[in-house]
Amino acid sequence: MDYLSQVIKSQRARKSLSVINILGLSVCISAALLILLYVRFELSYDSFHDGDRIYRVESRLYEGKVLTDNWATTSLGHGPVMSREIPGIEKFVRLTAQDREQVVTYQDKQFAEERYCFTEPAFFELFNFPIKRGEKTGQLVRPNTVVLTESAAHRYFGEAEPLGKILTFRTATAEQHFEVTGIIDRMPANSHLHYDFLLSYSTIPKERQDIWYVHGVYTYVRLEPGKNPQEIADAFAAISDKYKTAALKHKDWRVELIPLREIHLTPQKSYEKETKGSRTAVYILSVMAVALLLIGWVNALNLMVARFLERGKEFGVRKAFGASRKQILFQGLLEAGIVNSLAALIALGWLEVLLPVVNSLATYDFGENALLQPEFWVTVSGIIVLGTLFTGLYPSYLLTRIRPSDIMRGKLLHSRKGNRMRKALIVVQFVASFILITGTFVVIAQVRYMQNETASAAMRQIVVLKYPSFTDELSAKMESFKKHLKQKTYIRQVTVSGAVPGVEVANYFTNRPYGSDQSEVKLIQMFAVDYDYLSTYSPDMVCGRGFSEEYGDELNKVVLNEEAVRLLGFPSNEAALGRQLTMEVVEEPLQVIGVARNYHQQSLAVPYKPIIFFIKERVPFIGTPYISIRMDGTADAARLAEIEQAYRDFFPTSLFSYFYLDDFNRNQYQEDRNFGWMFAGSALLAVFVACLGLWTVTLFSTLSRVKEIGIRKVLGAGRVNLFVVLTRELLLLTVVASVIGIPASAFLMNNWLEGYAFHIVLPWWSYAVAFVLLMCIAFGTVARQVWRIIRLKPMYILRSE
Amino acid sequence: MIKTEKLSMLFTTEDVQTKALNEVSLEIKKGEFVAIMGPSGCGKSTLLNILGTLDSSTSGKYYFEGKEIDKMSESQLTSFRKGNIGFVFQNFNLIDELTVFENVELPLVYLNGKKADRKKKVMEVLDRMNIAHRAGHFPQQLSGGQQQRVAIARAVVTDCNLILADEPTGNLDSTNGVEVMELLSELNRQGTTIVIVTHSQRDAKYAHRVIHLLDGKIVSEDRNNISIK
Repeated sequence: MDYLSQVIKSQRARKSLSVINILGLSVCISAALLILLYVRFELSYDSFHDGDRIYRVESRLYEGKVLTDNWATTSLGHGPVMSREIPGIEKFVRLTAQDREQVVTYQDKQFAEERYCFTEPAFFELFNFPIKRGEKTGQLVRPNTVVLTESAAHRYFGEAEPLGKILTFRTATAEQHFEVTGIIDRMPANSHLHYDFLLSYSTIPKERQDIWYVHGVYTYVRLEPGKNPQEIADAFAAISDKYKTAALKHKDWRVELIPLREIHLTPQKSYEKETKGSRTAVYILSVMAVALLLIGWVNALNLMVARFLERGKEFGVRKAFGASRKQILFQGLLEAGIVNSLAALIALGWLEVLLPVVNSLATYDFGENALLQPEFWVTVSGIIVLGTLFTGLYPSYLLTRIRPSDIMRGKLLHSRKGNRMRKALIVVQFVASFILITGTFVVIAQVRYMQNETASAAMRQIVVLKYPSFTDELSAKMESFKKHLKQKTYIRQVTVSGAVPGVEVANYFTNRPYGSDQSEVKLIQMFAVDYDYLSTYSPDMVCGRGFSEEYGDELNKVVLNEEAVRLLGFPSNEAALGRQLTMEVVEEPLQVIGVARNYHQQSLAVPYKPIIFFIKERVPFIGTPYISIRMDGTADAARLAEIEQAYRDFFPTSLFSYFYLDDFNRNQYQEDRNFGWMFAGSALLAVFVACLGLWTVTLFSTLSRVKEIGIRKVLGAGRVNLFVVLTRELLLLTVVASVIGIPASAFLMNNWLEGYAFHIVLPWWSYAVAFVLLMCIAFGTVARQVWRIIRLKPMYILRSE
Repeated sequence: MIKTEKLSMLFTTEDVQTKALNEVSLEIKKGEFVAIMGPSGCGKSTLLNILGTLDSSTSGKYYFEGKEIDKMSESQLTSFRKGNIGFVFQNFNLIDELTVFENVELPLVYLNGKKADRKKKVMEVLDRMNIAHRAGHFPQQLSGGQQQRVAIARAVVTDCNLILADEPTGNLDSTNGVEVMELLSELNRQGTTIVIVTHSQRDAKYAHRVIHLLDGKIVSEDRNNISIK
């Protein structure tokens, strides 16, 4: 009890110091905990399956040694053939990888759904998504059956019994009915699979179930115990020639088996919709969490040492009167323990506030129930214990080791040995702050640049509707719908297309100049458009012309962009005009009638890609999900209501959904903006921690220089002069940190910018601003302490000596 | 040179008021060597600090060469001290991070003297104090006696009129103590007014006049048989 009252007394005596100590440490602990929660979440992906022997089979296509295509999918044929011909595969399951939206209807309930796939009964054997309602076995065997999640069931059936009900799925080209046979829980946030509807694979027409032509399914296999995945991959390479389609003849066709639990942290590949995590990011963040804790502890340790040394006399007296080492050690540890526990408690409060914010930014709930997990509390307790030992042992050890008389004379306070270490720490923290501040500027500048580059005045005038779902005479109705819209005075153009700016065209098909060798084929994105697309979005034509109904037969004509001209090996844009192409799914040759200037079809992160525009009727199975409507002026609510009414009149069974191209364009940089926020947040944290460290070091250096200041005052030094004497070093530290920080930041940010095909040059002003900002923050931090010392009467200073 | 009228100093803590000085009136003439004596806590150091303008009295008046000091602001006092008053402390109060030369030079820096002039003056004073050979050393490398000579050099380097010394021999052995007192005595003979606070009868013998303080009051005054120059 006596010890405790002493601790309380000593904390009270220097209230502001205690507050800063505890608050600073709490911020570091909460940031570290937040990071650890995130890291734990990222590492926990797909850990709820019994998945030690489960792998995803992914396709790798090589030309010679060069990896040309890196897909997360395989063809529909891989699974059955590999399982049949390669020994060691116990079980396989396929999940279709299409990403076309379907409109799902049950009576008057209608929603657009993307989270569905066709899959096989083995799904429930490989993955741990237990059936909550319905038969435990035999699910998805019958054609036209569906297993859905509880939340999806609730969406359509409310409280009513979902089993046995029929859901209607519609795309632009088909309509199918599915009977609900089972209900599962929502797939957890830390699953790389997120489906609301599992449709039976047997619904797919028999002849298309195992085709090799499309790489359109994710194939998962469970290997027999002890089987090496590399053997399976090698075995496939050995048999792959047998199954190659014409397009693949000149390619080396391989597979790679990725362990289920590692899927989330492997790099993003084509045909992967899930946003993947990054292993590097997880490593960097783990190091950051430990570094934050260490920095927090070192700062707390410094403050603790400063406090103990300030109270050196008290300890000297205690020792002189016979306090044992154990007692002093105990007192030190008790004090550190209380400081650490309080800091951890406040940190939990911060976490409570921060978690919802972070979750909403990250759009998933990685902290879900995390605070209730025992391992979380073990971590918190571990941090408290380690922190107590870290911050309590050394100062008390220091006081037990030295002679009471030395403490009483305040000898320790004047030792500036430890200061070098502290200054190094400050420089490190300042460098980190500098890098993060400049980084924030660079990220913001890049995001602004990308937004401005892709935005155009026309975008504000364009509203995009989703293509209606399947109905009788859809294309005829679509034509009348377009005509109807064009009659409205405020509508300039209406166009139907396979993509709009901001959407990847995809639809890769092989093309080669007509008459050239088969080995000349190139995979190029085929952009299905109608006659009005090019004039609506008006990419500049470099030469030739766009499509026009006036010419009559345009079906066998194509427009290339400059990149496609380059890839196909034409010597110039003009040389490409009039030339013919062979496209894999079209028998007649296609003639080039124009070349469009390269433009940003996707975000500026992506380089210009080869694109071939063609009239959509030429290859009708390539979908055209977008209807763009360009208006005079902006689309206000009244106009939109009119358009919606027309849509409903023409397509009563379809779901009306739309977006403004302008918003869409802005949204595609949401990830980058989030990254900017993260940077800004980390910069704030780094600056805070650095200030804390700086505050402590200043406390030390001013304490150890009080005598000097006193003497200087006695000898007639003015206040300005003393301020300079006390802060000269700070200026130097800031300069040193900036000098180290500039090349480091330039290197890191250049690397980051390299990830964008189109990017800004590093803005030099960000360094100047960061320097001035750091300087102001640094001086702001120490000003009060320095001023306090300067204002002390010399008499008091020297007397306390 | 110095005149005080009913100087009082009150220290107030939460519940105790201590009168460190109680209506002290005294006069010190130019060229005088005065020693203030008395038991611990009688207010000698407080008096010395007020005379040195390092502290101000709670009430009473303090005139320095006719000017009323207690009316001055902190910054006025700072510039007044410069060049007028030199200090010598029991624990020397040298700055450990500066060399002997730099320590002695410091008051001249604050007087904005030219660099060349400063150097000349500092070397001259160090020479006088017989410590010039140690100019490049740091205080910690010197003996106590040497450190105190550096402190005295620092006090006189501005050619000030008044030196205030708070137990200047308190931390020295007797040989070094005598040496320091001889130095102060010599400075006094050259015209500098000196006021010291001391416990030592031997030191007091160097003074023209000894003022005895008890409980913040002057209780008696002795005169030694030394003539004032």
